[in-house]
Amino acid sequence: MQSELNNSNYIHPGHMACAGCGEVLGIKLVLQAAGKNTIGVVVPSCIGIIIGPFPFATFKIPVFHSAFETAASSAAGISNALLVKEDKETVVIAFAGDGGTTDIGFQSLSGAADRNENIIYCCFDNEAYMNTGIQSSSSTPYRAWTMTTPLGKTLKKKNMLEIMGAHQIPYAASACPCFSDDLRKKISEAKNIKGMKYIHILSPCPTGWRYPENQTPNIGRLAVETNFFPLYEIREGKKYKITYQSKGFPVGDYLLRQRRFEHLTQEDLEMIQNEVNKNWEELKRKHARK
Amino acid sequence: MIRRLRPALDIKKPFVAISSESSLVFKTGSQRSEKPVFMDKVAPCRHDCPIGINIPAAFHLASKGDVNEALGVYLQDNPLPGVCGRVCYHPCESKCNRGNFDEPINIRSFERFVAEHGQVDVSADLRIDSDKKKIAIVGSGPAGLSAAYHLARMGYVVTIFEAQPELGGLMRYGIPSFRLPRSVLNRDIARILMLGIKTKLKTRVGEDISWQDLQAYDAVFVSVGLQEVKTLFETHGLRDLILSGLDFLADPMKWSLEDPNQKTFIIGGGNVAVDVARTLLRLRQGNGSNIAIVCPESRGQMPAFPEDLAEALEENLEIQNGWVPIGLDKGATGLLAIVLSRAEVKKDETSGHLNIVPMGTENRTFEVDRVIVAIGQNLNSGVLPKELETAQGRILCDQFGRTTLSKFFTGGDAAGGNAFVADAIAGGKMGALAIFCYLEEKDLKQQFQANQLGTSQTFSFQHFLRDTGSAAADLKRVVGFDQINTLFFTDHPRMNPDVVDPQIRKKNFDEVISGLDLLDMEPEILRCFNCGTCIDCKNCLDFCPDVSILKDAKSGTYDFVSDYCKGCGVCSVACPRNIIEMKRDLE
Amino acid sequence: MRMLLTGNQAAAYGARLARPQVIAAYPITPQSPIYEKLSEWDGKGILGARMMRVESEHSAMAACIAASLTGVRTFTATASQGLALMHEMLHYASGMRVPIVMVNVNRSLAAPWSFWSDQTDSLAQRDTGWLQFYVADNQEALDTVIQAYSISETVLLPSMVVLEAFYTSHFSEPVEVPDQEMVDAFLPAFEPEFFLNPQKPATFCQTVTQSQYAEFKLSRQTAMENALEAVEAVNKKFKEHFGRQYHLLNCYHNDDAEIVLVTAGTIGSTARVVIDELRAAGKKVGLVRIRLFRPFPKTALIDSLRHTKKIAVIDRNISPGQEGVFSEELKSVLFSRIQDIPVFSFVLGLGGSNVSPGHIKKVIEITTHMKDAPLNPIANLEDDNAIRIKQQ
Repeated sequence: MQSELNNSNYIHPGHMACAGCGEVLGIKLVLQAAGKNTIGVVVPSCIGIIIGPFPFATFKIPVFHSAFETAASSAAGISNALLVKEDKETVVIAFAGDGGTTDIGFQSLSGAADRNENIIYCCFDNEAYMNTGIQSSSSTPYRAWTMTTPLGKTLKKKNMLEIMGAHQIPYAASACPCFSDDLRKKISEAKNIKGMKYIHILSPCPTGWRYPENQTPNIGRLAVETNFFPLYEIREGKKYKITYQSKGFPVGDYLLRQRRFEHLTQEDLEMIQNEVNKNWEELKRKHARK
Repeated sequence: MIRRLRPALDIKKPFVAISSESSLVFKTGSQRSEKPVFMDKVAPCRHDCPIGINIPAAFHLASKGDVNEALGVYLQDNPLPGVCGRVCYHPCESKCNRGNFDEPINIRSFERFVAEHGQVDVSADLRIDSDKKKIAIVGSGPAGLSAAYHLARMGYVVTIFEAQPELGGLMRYGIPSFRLPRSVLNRDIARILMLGIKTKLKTRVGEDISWQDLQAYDAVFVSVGLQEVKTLFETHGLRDLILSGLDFLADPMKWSLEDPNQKTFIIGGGNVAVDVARTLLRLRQGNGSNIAIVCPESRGQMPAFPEDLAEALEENLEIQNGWVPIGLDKGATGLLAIVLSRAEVKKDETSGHLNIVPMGTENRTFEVDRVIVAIGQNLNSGVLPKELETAQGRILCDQFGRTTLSKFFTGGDAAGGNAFVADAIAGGKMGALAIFCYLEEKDLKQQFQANQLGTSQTFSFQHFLRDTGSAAADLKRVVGFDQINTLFFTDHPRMNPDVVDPQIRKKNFDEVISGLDLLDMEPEILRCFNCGTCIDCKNCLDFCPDVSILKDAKSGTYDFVSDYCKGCGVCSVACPRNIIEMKRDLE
Repeated sequence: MRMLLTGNQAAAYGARLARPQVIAAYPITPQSPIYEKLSEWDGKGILGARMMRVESEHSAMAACIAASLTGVRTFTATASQGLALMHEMLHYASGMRVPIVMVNVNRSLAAPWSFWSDQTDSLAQRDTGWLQFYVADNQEALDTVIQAYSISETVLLPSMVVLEAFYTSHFSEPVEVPDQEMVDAFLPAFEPEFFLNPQKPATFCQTVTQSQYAEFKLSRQTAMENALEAVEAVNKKFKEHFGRQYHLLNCYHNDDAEIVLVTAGTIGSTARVVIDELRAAGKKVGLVRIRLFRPFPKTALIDSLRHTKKIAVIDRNISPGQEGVFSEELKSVLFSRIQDIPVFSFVLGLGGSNVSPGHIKKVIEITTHMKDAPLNPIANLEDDNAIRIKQQ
């Protein structure tokens, strides 16, 4: 748990995130690793509120709050402008929610990945449109309650990390703010790579996932330890590396602490457990490949 | 002309939404109903250590590579870490929270490691304005040495009176060297003596100097131990064939018992009996064919340490449980004939005492050459001043060691209680506190309670003399296992030291258990949860979503930022070791 | 240097000469040749800008806005569906006060599917806060792109230079292409006061309160009002540097006209031919071609029409349920000052249908003979109108 990186922070307190918010926690850690020479793009999401109401800014770096689906295209525009200005130092980071990435922002993200734009794209995945009041997105997990899937979502969660891997970008990774060193390390790694970098950051949300706000550390840890959200990297779409050897606790340990899953039946749990096991085995095989 | 058309950039009337201030204006702290309180607490290992050693603090320092500092923590309470690292019965390990997770920490090996590798020049670090008051310590066993050490740390002028030629009491004259090498004991004693403590060796108080002479001292600590060995029965003419266990252990070579053909019974089921048997075995080059331990207790009831008992059995020593000797006479074929009768040990319902109950079912006579008796010791009240009242074979005293005689205090075996080294050391520490309060006219009970660890019988010296280090600590709160956030730890087996093969070790007096080397000690150090002890893991800093926890640069303590902390409690859950708790805050 | 260029090529030259630093574009008929020309120069290493070959027009505008906010000059081009897709971001650009210059080639909006000229696509964006210039020929296209940078970077609002599908974009005309040095002398480098800068961090485009929003929106109105003056000033400066004169409106024989034809785009060019013919026959007709549409040149328009007896507006566009946009806007402006000149609204050429000299003559004829202007626009020049006239 010894933090190696500088603990200088690039967000101020006084922001409007909910108490116990896992998303702003992730943002804090990303910015610790990113440092001062960073320009951020933020799009509508909880982050759009966290940046503060005019004229009071939460972020200590320059930020452009652009339209919902334009996180990647805006970041790419900034990146190209910096190239023209011969600025090799400044890093561009896009901060988008899951809706702004897997749904409405998918096209511009895919386009930026295709062009291998020199940006770090961070998807802060709280698994629904939380800012607008907990509506389902394609990143909402199977059987989760949301306001628009009140009986539990019947569709699966879109595997955005694998999709970005399939774009064969230089670096794609999953991260969780409850594993702070791992997250910071991945951002530092991304900073040193030219081209498109995608980091999928799980953002535990007490408000939308329905758990007591102080439980964020445990929820985030359990998501990874149950293999529900494994921490791994994909380079060039081929090279897989698991960055945290999880303990393999049963998924129920994670899911049943959240009231958005309280209606899960035994069958549901078994099905989800099987799916998680299958994916974990597959991931281990890929990790073991030369 | 064209330039003028652009609207003037008036800070009050900006034409585009670009921020000009920070979110610090929003005092989100007004939202909270709870606030985090940062407070170190007592780890269960420390709580159950009779001496109250701040074990997690020592582990923390060692984890940073500060072995000397770690030793320094031990020395805050225990002047004999080398000894304890060899022979302590480690109640700490039974209570170790890690034991509920995977396996308890090897705390005893750690104490040994720290004592071996650490270097500390002890000083009068708790010095008070003492007018150079003089204290006499009678008896230099663990209780006496401990009292001497703590009193000297406080700046008192201390003199130890010891009847034997060397200091150490039963540590030197009772515990065999294959359990406690003499070099280790000497090293601990040398360190204690760095405090300028005076010693009067081969001086028996009551004989070579009178108790009256001790009135010249401002206080006296009586730690004479139990000098009288219990005997079985009157044995006219058989004296030289019957030996007390302690006499044997004091100088094993003296008694011509090397011949492995000499049938030898050792009567007793405690540590002394086991130590005698194992020592005798070694004298006989590992030939234990004519050695037997005989005791009324069942195997499970034997008071000897289970670990030592197990080692003895590995060395193929014979133990006959459930027998009590009822007669001893000149032998027919051997030098002695001893009659053993079947017996059991039962607990008396009313008194709680353990009683030997002869069953009367079977008697057997054995021809032996020697009998070594190790059935316990008593207070030699004959050599004590009359005014020092005794009761039930011990010096009468309260929980703090205060006796019926003014200026006289006691501790260790002579005062009763557990007859283990750690408990004796604790008794010496308590005695030092009692003497301090007596001399400086402080309320002892109040002082003790103010610095007591939880509900234990021990207290924190550092806290007592206000050298509490950086973190504020709640000494009354003991951290339970359910207050540890185990999600931040990973399983790891307990590191155990090498043990010499029984067939080899029984032939010599070399140490049976080795120490953990650095390579093995490191992972064990890192396994420690450091319950209740802030180790700057920075989890709280990392996990706070509101950047509302700060570390004070000067004091090194952590606190929350009142203006912004929303009271979410994430920090209290993220702290793996229960430093942070949420309390109501409704201002 | 004098070259034979299509409208697209001319626009591309105009863009290149203005030295944009980031170009983000997506192909769409009939704009593609602009994108291709820029790519060709990029391939030869003479473009000077970073080309972002984005995956949609929405991303093109988003990238341009972000790049512009990073402090560089930007350019893009589109048409029809692409412009419509950009709609959200057009509002964003003017709201963030970024001086992007975009060429839009007027093309019919689906449905149904069509590739030819129709002004509805750009006019449907008239509320987005962009300056809009409607050009009639290729020289004007090149010149207006260069001018637009100067104007936009002064008032900090984006500009749209509007060509017409095929009529302008694909027809070749002789065009005077100025030297780079001449353009550099006219148009200095873009040096914004505010941009995304780690040395002076700030957050751009946070949530505002109701009254704050109103202030920002009204400040755009102020900027637009100031833009009229800026356009005039740049027109003047342009003449000084390049010798070619442009105005807010392109007027032809309107001073003593009894009927003034008002239109925008290439229909204006055809109208000149008709006016020459009718003037030769003694008919007092004139033309006002609206060049600058946003900001709407109210005063200039009123002044140019004050003395006429009848006005005929030809819109190559319609806002269904109302009428042609130029007509509607004209009427609203006139009403504040002149209430007694009837305005006859014609909607012709939708979807790129040909508007011939004959059609225009017919327009004049109907205007001449009809007493009262109908409430709804006249789209059919035959049949009904003859009957209507007879009925009056």
